[in-house]
Amino acid sequence: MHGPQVAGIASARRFIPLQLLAGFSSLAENGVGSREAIMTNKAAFLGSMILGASVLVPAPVAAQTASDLRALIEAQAEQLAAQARQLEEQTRQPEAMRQRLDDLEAAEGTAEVAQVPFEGEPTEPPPAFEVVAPETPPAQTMPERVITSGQPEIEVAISGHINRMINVADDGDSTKTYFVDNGNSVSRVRLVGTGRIDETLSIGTAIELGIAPNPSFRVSQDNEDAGDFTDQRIVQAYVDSTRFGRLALGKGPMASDGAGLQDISGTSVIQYSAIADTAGGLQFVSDGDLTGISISDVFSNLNGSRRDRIRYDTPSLAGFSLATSFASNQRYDGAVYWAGRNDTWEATAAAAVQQPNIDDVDVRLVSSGSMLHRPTGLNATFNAGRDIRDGRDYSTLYGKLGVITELVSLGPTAFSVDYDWADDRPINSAAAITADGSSAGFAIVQDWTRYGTELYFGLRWHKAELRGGDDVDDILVSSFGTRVRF
Amino acid sequence: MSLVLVAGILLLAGCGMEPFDPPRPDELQPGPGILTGESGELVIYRRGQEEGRPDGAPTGTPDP
Repeated sequence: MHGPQVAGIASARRFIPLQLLAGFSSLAENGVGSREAIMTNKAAFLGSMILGASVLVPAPVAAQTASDLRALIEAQAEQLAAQARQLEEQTRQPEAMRQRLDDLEAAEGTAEVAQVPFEGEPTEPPPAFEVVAPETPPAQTMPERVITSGQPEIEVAISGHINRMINVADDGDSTKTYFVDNGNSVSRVRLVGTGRIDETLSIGTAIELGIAPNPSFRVSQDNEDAGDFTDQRIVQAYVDSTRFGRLALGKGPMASDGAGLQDISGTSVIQYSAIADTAGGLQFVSDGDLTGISISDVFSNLNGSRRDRIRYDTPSLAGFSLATSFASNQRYDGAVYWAGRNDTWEATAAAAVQQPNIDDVDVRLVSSGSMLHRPTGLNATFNAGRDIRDGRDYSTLYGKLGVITELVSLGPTAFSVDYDWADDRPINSAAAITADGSSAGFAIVQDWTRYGTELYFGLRWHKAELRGGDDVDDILVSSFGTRVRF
Repeated sequence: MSLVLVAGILLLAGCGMEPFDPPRPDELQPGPGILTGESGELVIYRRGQEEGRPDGAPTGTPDP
């Protein structure tokens, strides 16, 4: 045999029998007895061997393909094994998640909720979804999150709450029960549309409608059913930039609306500086007769209001922001707000100057602040305001002390007591009657965090002294109610 | 009173406190809703957002 044939056969031993068989089969077909036959058979044998050699030449190439195939099969086997391990890990995850759910339910309503460790992850909370590194071939990798549209994010959301309350009021002459909507934060529904142009700029619209049958600030002894009360609280469009601030046009809070309401005590739903909101419609009684002078006539915290206006707010800088607004009837104001917190303290403060365009009022000043010591829950809140008038100024001062505790697993429980002074509130300019008022209150609010619900109780005493008027009886109001966010 | 307020704020601001957005007492409060879940609001329309964000996830809708 020729060297190349040998080399070919030697390099691919498994093909040797086939090629020899091809050569010997030629001999067998042509016979082996005669010389001619032998010569013919030699030629046939050599032809067969040459033909076999031509077939054997690619043999080394065939051997390399097999080696690659074996390596590919082994790689796929390893990948399948890796996938099997991943599947096995994933099948264990539901049990771990059930265990975590049990832990969360056990710790429901307590501060431990966010600290319940995930099995196998003692220090950090587990991710909601775990993405496994793609060891599998590309066709089997999990799809990554993608942005579905190049359009800006547009979102329309609805929210609101119901805040209903029972007031039991003793005006010194009689005791009556009133079923009211809590004027501290009336029932409402809000519809907000937001279009995010990019990470720093958004535009939006907001409509907030107060729907408050029998509001507590309108109900009185001679009008126990004050009827339906619908208030278009907010109807505005705005543009909001993290760099340039926020510009709003429409009905909504003036810049000073909020400057008298800073309160992080946790009891504001039934007790805050606007004490007349809880039962402001009730009238003081003198010698068994209604005087026509209500609680809201005597007490005011001088907070700003909601009006049809244009308002601008600066971006927040170190917690500070400035705001100014201009409304119809030549009303305008300016305010500064600040809020900050660390691990120990949480505090807010605000101050505003208003031109409310009210007869005899030159300028209105209001400020408020609230501070919470987070480790203990102790907190303090104040409000101060003054109407600088042509005649005697009206001034008001309010203070509250409270504590937020964790008595039950439902959520925080907040307690507070407060006191309010009102000095020289003008009642009847023509009759030169002014009023000095004093009020003290106690409140407890139980938050049911999981269901967005607050249960509350409040007790408030109101006293008025009329300068130039009759003596009036004190009014004592106890309130029970609930605010439910839906 | 105003001077006390200003002095108090500057003192606290100098203590390295982080800014935050406190809820207003008379407004809608942050937190879950009994029907709307954790976000406290029901998103009735959304377009052009990341795929895969679960319904009810906080949307960051600013207060009006």
